[in-house]
Amino acid sequence: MSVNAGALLRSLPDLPDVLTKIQSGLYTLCGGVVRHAPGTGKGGQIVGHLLFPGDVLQTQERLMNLQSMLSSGLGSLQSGVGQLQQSMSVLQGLQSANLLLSGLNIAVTAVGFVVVCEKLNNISAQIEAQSQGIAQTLKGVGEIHDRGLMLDEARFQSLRDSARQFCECDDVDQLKDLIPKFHEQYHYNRLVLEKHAPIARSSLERLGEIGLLQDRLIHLGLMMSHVQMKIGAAKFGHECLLRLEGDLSRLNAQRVEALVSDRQLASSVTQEQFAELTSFLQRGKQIRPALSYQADVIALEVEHPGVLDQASTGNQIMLLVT
Amino acid sequence: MGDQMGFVVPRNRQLSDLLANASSKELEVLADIITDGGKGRVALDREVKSKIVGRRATGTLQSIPEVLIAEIQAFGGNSIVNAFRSGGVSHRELIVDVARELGGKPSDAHDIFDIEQIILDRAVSKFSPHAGILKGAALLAQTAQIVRNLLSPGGSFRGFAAKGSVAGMSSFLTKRVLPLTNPTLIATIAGLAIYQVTAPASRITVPAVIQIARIRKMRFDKDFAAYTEALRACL
Repeated sequence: MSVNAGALLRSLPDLPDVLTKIQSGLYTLCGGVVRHAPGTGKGGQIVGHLLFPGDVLQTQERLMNLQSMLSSGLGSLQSGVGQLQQSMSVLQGLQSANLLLSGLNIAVTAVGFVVVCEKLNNISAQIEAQSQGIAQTLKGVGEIHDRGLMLDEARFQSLRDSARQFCECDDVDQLKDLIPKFHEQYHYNRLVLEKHAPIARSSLERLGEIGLLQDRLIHLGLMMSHVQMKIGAAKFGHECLLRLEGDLSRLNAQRVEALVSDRQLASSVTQEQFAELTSFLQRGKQIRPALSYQADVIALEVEHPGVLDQASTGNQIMLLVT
Repeated sequence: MGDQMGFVVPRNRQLSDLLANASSKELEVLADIITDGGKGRVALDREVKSKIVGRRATGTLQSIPEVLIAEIQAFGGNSIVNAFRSGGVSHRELIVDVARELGGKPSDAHDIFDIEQIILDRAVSKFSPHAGILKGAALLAQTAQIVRNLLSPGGSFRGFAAKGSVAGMSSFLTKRVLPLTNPTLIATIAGLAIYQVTAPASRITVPAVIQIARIRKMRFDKDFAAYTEALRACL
């Protein structure tokens, strides 16, 4: 497949002018988008979209190189320091997200899909190992959800395995039939998490189980997004990622609000618990750049079919100039 | 009480840790209570007094928390009872005495933080009855004023001690001293005599304990603010 006329896909290192302008603060990075910096006459206008390699380690290395290159200009800059620092902060955020999610294209490529399936496998294994705690966490949702944990788990695993099989076989019709089940599983996980998020004590005492369920929610959202793209419903794949990003943000906000409203509970939080809690909350925050980046990539792929394949199979950060 | 250092927002920090990290402004008040504004007291060793006054002048009272604590605890809840105790009283004993003296009802279920909260609430109720129920910064501000009043020569504590504490002290002495001494001694220290002996100690311990309670509350609020900020940084 080739990239549409009107769009120009280039390796970022081959665009010294773009790099220089990012370094001087004339361009800024906003997620995976390069924009004209505010106050430059074209403030906010898009210069192009960054596309990252499919491989997690290559992405990490390229991001670090880019960040290092940008930071070398920081000392000599007369103006645009704020813009450059913002760009570096974006790169730092993408690095964290890349490591946490094992890639920045995890929802949008076939290779990423396999990684997501494997992660869901691991999460299922951990959930089975912690079935007692999970059962108590689910029980907190109420009697309406009193169906057995094992049945829930079997349904979930069936959905995951079926989706993987149908994806690999390119069986679009079967994949379409799985969409309602994906929604059901996603919303069930989300509702359990939303039930516990306003309960400050849950965020401390049930953190292990809640962490697993949130990991499942994340990877379920990524998987669903991929399946939506596979069946040609890119718009809904895009929506999946944005919804997941919004859900994670809202869940974190509810948890933090509950925790800061309870002084009594705060006085019983140990340093160890607090480290685990903030690490969990940070994780929810740190993967969000990867989600919004991938949502952008889906939109680009719809507009410029083939661009994703070209970008993700390379080993450099690419810039799609629009 | 377990090891409070393992908590992010500890309620019951060790006194030494609390005072070693308090502001100079708050510790100066405590130093003034102990030294009677630098003039000294009969029961205060001259060397100890000059050490406290010297550190106050250089803004380094944080370096001698143990000295401040030892002096406050040596006064105990009451000078007569203290005569039968060696080495002063524990902080818990001290605050339980003061809470009761102010009309509070501390129990074994209350931790130090709870008892000090009772003390702050009762102090407002007793010395600023028109202030109503106060919380947060308003409670801290009002109790700071109460401590200042108790320290002033014509302060309300003298009135409070003269009017209200004799009956309380009699009951207190009966409970605390009776098992330690003989009935004849108890009979001889009745009435005004009790007040004359006990009031000076109370004039030190009541404001000192209120001030320590304020310091603990401020530290708790500071720790809680840091906890809140760290959590909000995760958003």
